[in-house]
Amino acid sequence: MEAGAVLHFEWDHVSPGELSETGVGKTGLGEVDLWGQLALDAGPVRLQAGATRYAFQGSTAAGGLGPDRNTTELHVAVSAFRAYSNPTAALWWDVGKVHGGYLSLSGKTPVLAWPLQPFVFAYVDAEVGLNVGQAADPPHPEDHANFSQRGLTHAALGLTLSTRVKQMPGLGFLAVTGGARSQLNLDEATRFDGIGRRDDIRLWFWGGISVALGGAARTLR
Amino acid sequence: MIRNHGAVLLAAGVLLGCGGSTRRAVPGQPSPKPTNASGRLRAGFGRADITPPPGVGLAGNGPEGAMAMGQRLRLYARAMILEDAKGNRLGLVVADIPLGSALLHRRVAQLILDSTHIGVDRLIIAATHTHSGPSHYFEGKVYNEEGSSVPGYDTVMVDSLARRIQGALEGAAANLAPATIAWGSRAVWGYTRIRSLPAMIRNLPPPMARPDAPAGLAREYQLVDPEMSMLRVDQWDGSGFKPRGAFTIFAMHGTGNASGTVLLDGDIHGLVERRLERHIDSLIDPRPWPFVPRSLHLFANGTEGDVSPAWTPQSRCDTPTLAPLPFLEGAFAPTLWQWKPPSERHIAACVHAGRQGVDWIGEGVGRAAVELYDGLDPKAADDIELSRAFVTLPLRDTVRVPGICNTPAVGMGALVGADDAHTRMLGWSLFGVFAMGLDQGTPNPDPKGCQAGKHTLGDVLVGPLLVKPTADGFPSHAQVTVFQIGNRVIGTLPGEVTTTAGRRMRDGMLAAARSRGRGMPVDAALIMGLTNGYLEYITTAEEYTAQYYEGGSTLYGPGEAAMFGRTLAGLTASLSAGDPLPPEALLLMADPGAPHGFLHPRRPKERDAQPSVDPPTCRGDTLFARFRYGAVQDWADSTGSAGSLPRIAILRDKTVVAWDDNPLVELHLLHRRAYPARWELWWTPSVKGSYRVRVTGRPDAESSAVECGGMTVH
Repeated sequence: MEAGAVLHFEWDHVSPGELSETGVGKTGLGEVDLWGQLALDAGPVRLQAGATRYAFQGSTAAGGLGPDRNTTELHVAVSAFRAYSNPTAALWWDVGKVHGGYLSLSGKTPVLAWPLQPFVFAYVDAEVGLNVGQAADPPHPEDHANFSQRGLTHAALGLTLSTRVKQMPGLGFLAVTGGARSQLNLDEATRFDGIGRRDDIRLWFWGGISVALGGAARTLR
Repeated sequence: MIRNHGAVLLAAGVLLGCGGSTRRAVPGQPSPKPTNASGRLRAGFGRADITPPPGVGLAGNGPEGAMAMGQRLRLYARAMILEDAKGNRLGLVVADIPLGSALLHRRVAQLILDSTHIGVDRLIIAATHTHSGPSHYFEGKVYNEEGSSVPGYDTVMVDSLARRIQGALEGAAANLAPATIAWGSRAVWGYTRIRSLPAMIRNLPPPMARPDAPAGLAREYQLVDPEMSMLRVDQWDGSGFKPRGAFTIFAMHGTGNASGTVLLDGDIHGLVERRLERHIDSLIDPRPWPFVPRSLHLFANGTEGDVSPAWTPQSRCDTPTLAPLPFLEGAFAPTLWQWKPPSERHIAACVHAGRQGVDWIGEGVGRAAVELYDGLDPKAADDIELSRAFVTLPLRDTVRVPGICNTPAVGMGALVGADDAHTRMLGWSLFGVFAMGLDQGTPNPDPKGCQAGKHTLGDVLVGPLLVKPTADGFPSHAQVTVFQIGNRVIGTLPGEVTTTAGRRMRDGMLAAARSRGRGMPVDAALIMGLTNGYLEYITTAEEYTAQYYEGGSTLYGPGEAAMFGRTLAGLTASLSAGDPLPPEALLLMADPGAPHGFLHPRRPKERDAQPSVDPPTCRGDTLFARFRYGAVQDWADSTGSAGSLPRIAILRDKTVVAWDDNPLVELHLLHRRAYPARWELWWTPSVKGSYRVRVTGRPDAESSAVECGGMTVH
């Protein structure tokens, strides 16, 4: 059983018409995602089932996403872990607002991993999104939806580097992860980049810090 | 729930491992001119306990070398000093350590110069090459960082080892006494094999088995150099010359234990050492002497570069595999990866199979050593001269050291490990499809430059970016010695010489010795590897083209063996005694890396820690006892004194029947942070009885008795 929270912050001021959760002229916490799931490992296969509550913190008046957009999704996923291929299929079903599904097909393959401390792992990942019901409903266009139409939403390719910068024997470890990701946008909603602006292809860099304490993290090599 | 991934920045971090070179000159003083001529050949022996505490990395298996979590056999440094009639001395140390170290050699030489009159040119420190010994004391940063899964250089390790070896040598100098000696040799078949036969058969002329090779042996067993050469030394005890010790050279990797082992141990060499020592002890005094043997067997390695002990396939452990971490894996966090270890059951099985092999090989080779020893008849040798020649080679100066590449490089075949212990990188391919050459026997398809057919990681990934910082971490100098004892000349090299390379070197030395026209006649030339430093393997140019593990680890290119062969021949031709060395023969640079303390000097409160022992239990045929003793990062013996008493003893009635230097007694650390340290003893008694466990201290702690044993006889 696993649970967690993901907090999304916006640090830059946006202009009217730009994509934002906090709203025009505002920064800070934009979204809180609370998630919980059950995971079952069966040999090289992992099954997951869980739910996520999306709670938006922005100002509707300023063009951001406010509590009226809050919703809940259920998800099930199956992954296979092998040396080179780590495919995952995940189905998300919105039960709060749009009552539709979204299918994610992804895969990861390691490029190389440094076997000594500090361990460095490099991997390539690819993802395709398929909207199976989270598009606008023609009889009710006022309902909020995430995508403009059914079908492929985007295809993404990323390269990630991760290193365990601090191994704390008996406690856990600290990992720094970062990478580059490119995305081919196929749905109008994914292309949207502000009024009058569309991006068919986007490239961005990202980074993060993970702290894993207890359990198997204590003795990892 | 924005799925078009707006520019949400969580945090950004870039980690670049930057570190400048820490190369520094290491001082060295030559032996002074002898002033104390006794007119006799004299010999002395000394021993030091060099067993480090748990927590250190077990060096030799790279990333598969575990952190030490206990001990089986104690590790010792055994020292012998010989002094000829004119007062020229030679200090020989064989230590139960994985690799040689120029840093350690220079440090010991500095410590003993005044007390023993032995300088760098007359001191040989050889490693038995046990892969169950400590890391962290090398002059090359690469070996401190990557010799085991525990990275780092430790000045306390260097100082502690040096002080202990100093003690052994000073002990030997203190008991110098008239001696008689005898050289002998015999073949030992069936316990060693060539592990890289496809590389060996590239040599011209093709390798031939000796005529006395047993016909039934497989080819890789027939092509080894089976020669066990032994110097028996008897010592005057006031009433006569009595057996006292031996110095043996035999080619065999110290890789009997599986890579999954977590115990410090002397491996096969530890058993062979003890087997002959017990035998010599019995010749001195037939009454049982239960603890540390009184006599010494210095069991050094020869040209073992491509020679494995006859381990069985089931004694090799699987390596970890790459897999995403099962926790935090999902849509909410970036994937974290792990090297997933084999199951504990698998590790236990391969470690157990490794021990069976160690016992069998140790008994067989030990028996051969006893037979050879018994066949030797020491004679007075007061007329011999302990001549020597010594040089420190600057390997990156191709003017002074021609014939090799001026930049070291490691081939792909080295990254994957030898057959004795592959690393987790074996067979890795890009996306599981495109081979990267991470295998043995994968030379560069487009040979170019000095390293020619060596396929390096830099060829595949980041090219020159990787070469410079990596090269800095490898040794840049090599200490080479040739010395003569009686009718044998012995060349020492800071690396692992293959069988064929060693044969060529010996031929060159013998020819040089016979053509010099002075000094004592020479009947044989011998090679000691793993001495006075470490720069990996030394293969012939033909073997190098195969790029097996040994060729991939020949750092300075295909000309290395020929260069060392010329050097050894030149030194053999210039053997001398009683003369000073030129200063350029001494310059040595080292780059051990930044200190990274694992160990600490013994602190007062730990010295006074009171031991305790819980009531033992017996499960199946094994006795288990938990006890508290010492501190985890502290040396069990603060001085290195080998002592005459066990630290942990098992008693039946009032008789000690086993102790903490017995291959059937394992001491497992239970908790790395507990103080005093918590241990568990495992022992399988062969005789059913009532046993108690005693832990030494002030006062000793002794357990209650438990009935155990009798189910298994080893």
